[in-house]
Amino acid sequence: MEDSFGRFGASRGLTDAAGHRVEALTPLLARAEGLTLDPALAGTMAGGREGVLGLLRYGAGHAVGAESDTSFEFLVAITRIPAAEPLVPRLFCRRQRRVESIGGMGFELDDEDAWTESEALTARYDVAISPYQDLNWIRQLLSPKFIDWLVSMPPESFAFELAYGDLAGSVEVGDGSVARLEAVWDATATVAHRIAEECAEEL
Amino acid sequence: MLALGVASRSVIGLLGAIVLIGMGACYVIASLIAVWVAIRARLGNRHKRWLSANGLRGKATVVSAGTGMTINEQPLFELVVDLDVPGQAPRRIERKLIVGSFAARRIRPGLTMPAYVHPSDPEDVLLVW
Repeated sequence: MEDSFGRFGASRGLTDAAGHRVEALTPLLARAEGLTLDPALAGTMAGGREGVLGLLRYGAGHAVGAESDTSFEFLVAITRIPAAEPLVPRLFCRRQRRVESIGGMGFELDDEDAWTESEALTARYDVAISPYQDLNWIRQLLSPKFIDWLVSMPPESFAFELAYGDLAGSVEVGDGSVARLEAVWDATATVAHRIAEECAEEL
Repeated sequence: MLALGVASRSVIGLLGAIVLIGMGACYVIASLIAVWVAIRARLGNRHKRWLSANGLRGKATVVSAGTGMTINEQPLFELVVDLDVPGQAPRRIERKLIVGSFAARRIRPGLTMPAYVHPSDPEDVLLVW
């Protein structure tokens, strides 16, 4: 895995960010709050946005609420889209049937509205938004073209969470190859670009 | 002696009936309260839906966020926010808001969230978290 990170970082001009501290920016990241991404890289994503890419590992007694012996590992790419904060508090596009915890941490009780207007999207993802969110804005963001991309281009286990301007894209670790790192890094950059593009329409 | 036994049985029967009626009344009152709470919540949600569809959309920036009390394990925030709605003078308002456990970790001074204001009642404000 470290070798893959080394090679991917060298090919994209990213710097070593091992030990990047995980903050509770999204529900997935909150499960590993206080832990570190290791290995990790930092640098500029496609489109010029700064981001961090790393291995998120939690569970097995390491994180709050994870009291079993099971540990969870995801490759995550984290970036920020400040313009999204006043427009869309929470937008979660979760991979169906992905298991992120045993027992949960109570986030499951959080008030969310399911967004089910696209059959293609809901066939692959569970999409949730803040209650009373501007639905027209969501419809514009999740345009047919973007939905086509979401259901066909990202890796099989890709998911993303946008919360208060912070975006985390993630995939299951799989073989941990350079191709896998590239896939989550670039897919997250594409999602970030699309969200920023739609935010700019509002200004 | 027989008359005394019959009388005491009657008193016990009467007390039993009173207790049963009292318990029944409690159940009825509790049910009515639950129905009232449910209707109120439903009407409140319907109004919020209306406001998010027809209200003036702006943004609210958190100035201060205090919490201490929880309701159903969800924190009750006492928020002070600066409201910025197109066509209206900026103003500072206070609101109490129950938020989910994840959102509670993110709500802090400086955070901006969407806000909707009733077109004809500036005090009717919906904060979207």
